[in-house]
Amino acid sequence: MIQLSEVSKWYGSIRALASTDLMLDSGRSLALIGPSGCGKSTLLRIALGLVTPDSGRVVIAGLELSARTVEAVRHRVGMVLQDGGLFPHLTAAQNVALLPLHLGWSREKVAERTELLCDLTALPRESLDRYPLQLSGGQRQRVALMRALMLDPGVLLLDEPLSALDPIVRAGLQEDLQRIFTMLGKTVLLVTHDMAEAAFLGNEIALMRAGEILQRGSAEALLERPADPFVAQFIRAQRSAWPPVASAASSGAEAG
Amino acid sequence: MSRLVLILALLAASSSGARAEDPRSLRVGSKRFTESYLLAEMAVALLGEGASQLQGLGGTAIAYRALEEGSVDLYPEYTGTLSEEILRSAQPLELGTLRASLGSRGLGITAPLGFDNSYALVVPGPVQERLGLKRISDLGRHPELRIALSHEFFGRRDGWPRLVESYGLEGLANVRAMDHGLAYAAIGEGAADLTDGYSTDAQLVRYGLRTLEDDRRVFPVYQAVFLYRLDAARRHPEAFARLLRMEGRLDAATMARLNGQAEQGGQSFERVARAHLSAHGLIPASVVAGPASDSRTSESLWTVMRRSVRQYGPRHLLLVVVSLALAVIAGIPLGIAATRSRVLGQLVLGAVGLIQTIPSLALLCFFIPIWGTGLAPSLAALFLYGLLPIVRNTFVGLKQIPAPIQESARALGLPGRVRLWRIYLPLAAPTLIAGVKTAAVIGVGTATLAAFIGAGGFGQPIGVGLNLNDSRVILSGAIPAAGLALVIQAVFELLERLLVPQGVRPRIRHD
Repeated sequence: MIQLSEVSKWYGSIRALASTDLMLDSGRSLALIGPSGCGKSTLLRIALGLVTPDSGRVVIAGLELSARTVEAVRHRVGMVLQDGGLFPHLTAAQNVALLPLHLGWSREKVAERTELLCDLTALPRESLDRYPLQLSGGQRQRVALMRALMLDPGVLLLDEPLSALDPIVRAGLQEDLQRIFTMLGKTVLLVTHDMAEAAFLGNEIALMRAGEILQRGSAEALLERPADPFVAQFIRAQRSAWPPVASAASSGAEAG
Repeated sequence: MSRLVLILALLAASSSGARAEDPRSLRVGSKRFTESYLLAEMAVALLGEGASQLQGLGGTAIAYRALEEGSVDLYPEYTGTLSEEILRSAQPLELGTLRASLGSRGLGITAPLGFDNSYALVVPGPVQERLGLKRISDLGRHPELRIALSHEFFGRRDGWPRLVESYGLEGLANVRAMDHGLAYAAIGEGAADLTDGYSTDAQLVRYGLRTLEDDRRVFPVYQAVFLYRLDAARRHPEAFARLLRMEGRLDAATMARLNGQAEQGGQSFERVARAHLSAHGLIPASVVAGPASDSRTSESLWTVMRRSVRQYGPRHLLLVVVSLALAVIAGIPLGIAATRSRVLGQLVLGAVGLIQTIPSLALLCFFIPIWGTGLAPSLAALFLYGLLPIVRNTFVGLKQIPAPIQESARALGLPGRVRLWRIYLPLAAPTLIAGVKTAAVIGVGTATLAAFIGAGGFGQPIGVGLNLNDSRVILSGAIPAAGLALVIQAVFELLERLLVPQGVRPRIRHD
C-alpha cells in the first residue's frame, strides 16, 4: 500500500508538486503519465524518501516515512530507474547480491534467489557474470528488476523503466513486466510518458500536469470521459499509438 | 582531521627526540658554498670521533635556526653576517660586542680563523679594461651592464640594497638574481658582465675576474669564525680545544687555493680539508688517507651515482613516502568532505589550491619557526604540496559519478558508509589514484628542495654540484630523482590495475 497525504514540493519559486493526495491499494498498479516536468518523477522519489517533500506525509509498505524509517522502507520497496542504475564496477550477479549480502544473507541463499529471479525475469544465466557495459539495454533492465525484487518487496517503483529501449525489446519486456506484476501481486507505481505503456501496465492511470493530478481512472475512462481539456489533448497527441493498445489493456484487465 | 594533527605532532616530537638522543656526537652545519663545506669538514676532522656534518643548509637564516634549535652545534660564519643578519645591527660590531650579544643567546664564537672573506663585486678582465672600471663608484656610468647576483647578496641589507643606496646605483636596471654557481657560469659564457663574489672565491682565478674597489667602504668586514652553542662547548671541552687550534691560521690566499682545489682540482671537501690540517700538523697525516681520498675526476658518473643512491636514496624515499602517506590519509577524507556541501567544497578546494601557489622553497621555510630545520618541516611542506592533487581528484572522481547511479545506491537502502566504500570510492578510483600518482611525482621533485633546510635526499648532491658547477655531481642527484619518479609512476600503474575495478576500466566495451 502507498499513501501520500498533502504532499508538496517546491524548487525555489518553481512548483514541482502541488499539495497532493494519492492512495494505492496493495496489489494494484498505477501508471503516472504526463509531459516532462509534470511532477510524476518527483512524486515517485518522494514516495521513497529520495526527495524530501516540503509538507505532507508518506506511508508506504506499512511504514511512515521518516529519517528513522527510510532505510527500512527502502528494503521493503524495489526501484528500477530508466537506464537501470546498475553499478558499472560490479557484474550483474554482484549488483543483485550487494544488498542481501550486506544484510547478512548467506551466499547460498543469494545464489538460490538469483537463480529464481533469473527465470522469472527471463535473463540468460550467462549474463550474470557480465559487467553492465557488456549487457544489452534490455538485459540491463532485467538485471535492475532482479535487483529490485531480491528482498521480495511488497512495493515496486519504476521510473520510465523501458523508455530507453528499442520497440521490439520494449514490447517483450512490457509483457514480462505485466506477467511478473500479476503473478507476484506487487503494488506498483510506474512512471511513463507513453500512453500505450501506461494502459498496458497500469490497472489505473493518473495523468499529471504542472505538479497536479488532473484525472485518475482506467484508460477507457480517460479516453471517453476526459475531466479536463488537457487530458483530451494529451491523449489525442498520443493517438497514433493508442488504438492497438486499447485491446491489450482490456485483455490485461481480464488477466488481472 | 584530529588523527592527522596527532600524527604531525608525533612526527614533530620524534624529530626533536632524535636530536636529543645522542648528546655525545657533535654536528657541524654548513651553508651551500664551497668554503662553508670546507670549514665544516675541517671542524669535523678536528672535533674528532663521532662528529658529523649537516651539509648545505640553504642560507644564513636556516643555518642559524638549525644552530638555535640544536640541529647543529656549530657552523662557520662571518662577523659581518653576525652583525647584520643575526644581531640586526646598523653598524658592524666589534668582536667583543659580538661575543657579549651572542653570549646572552647561549652562543659563542671562536677568534677569527685568519682571513677576511669580504663581499666583492667582480667583472671579467676584458670588461674592466673596455669600460675602464676600477671602483664601484664607476658603475653608475654604465647602466647597460648585465648584472647577475646571488640570491643572498641580492636580498641582504648589507648586500646589494646598501650598495645601491651608498653609491647611487638606482640607474642599473639589468639586474637578475640567480644561484651563485650559475652566476659565475653566466659570466664565463659572456651572458653577464658583473656578479658578486667573495675575496676567497676560487672562481675569481678560474674566470679571470677582477675585483672592483669598495671606495666608499660599504662592505663590512667578514672575518671567518665558528659560531657554536655554548652548551655543546661545555659538553665537549676537549673537542672544542682542538677546534680552537684553527684560530688565526688560515689566510685569504690559502683559503682561495683550498676552494680552488675542491672546485676544480676534483678532490672531495673532506680530503682537501684534512690534507690542509695535516700539512699544518693539526691532525695526524694518517687520517687523510682513507675512504675520503677519492678523486672525483677519475670516477665515472655511474660510480658517483651509485654512491649517491646509497647515501641519499633512503632519505629521499622516506621524505616522499611518508609525506605522500600523510597526504593520502588527510586528502581523501578532505576530498570526500568537499563533496558533502557546496560551502565546504569551495573552502577545502580553495585552501589546498592556495597552498599550491606558495613557492615550494618558501613553503619549506615556512615551518622552520615551528619545527626548526630538517625532517619535520620538510615532511610538513611536502605533505601540503601533495594535498591538492589528491583532494581535487577525490572530489572530481566522486562528483563525476552519474546521478542515476548515486540515486539507485540510495534507493537500495544501503547505509552511507557502504555506499561510499562499495560503490562511490571504487567508481572514483581511477581519478583518485591518478591524483595520488601526480602527488607522488610532484613529491619526488619537490623533495630535492628539502636539502636546503637540511633534510637531505637527492637535493644534497644537486646543491653541492650546483655550487661546484660540476654537472656530474648534479646528475648524480638529478638522475636518481628522475628515476625514482619513473619507478613511482610504474608502481602506481600496477596499483591501478589492482585497485581499479574491471567494469570501469576503459578497455571493457559492450560485446
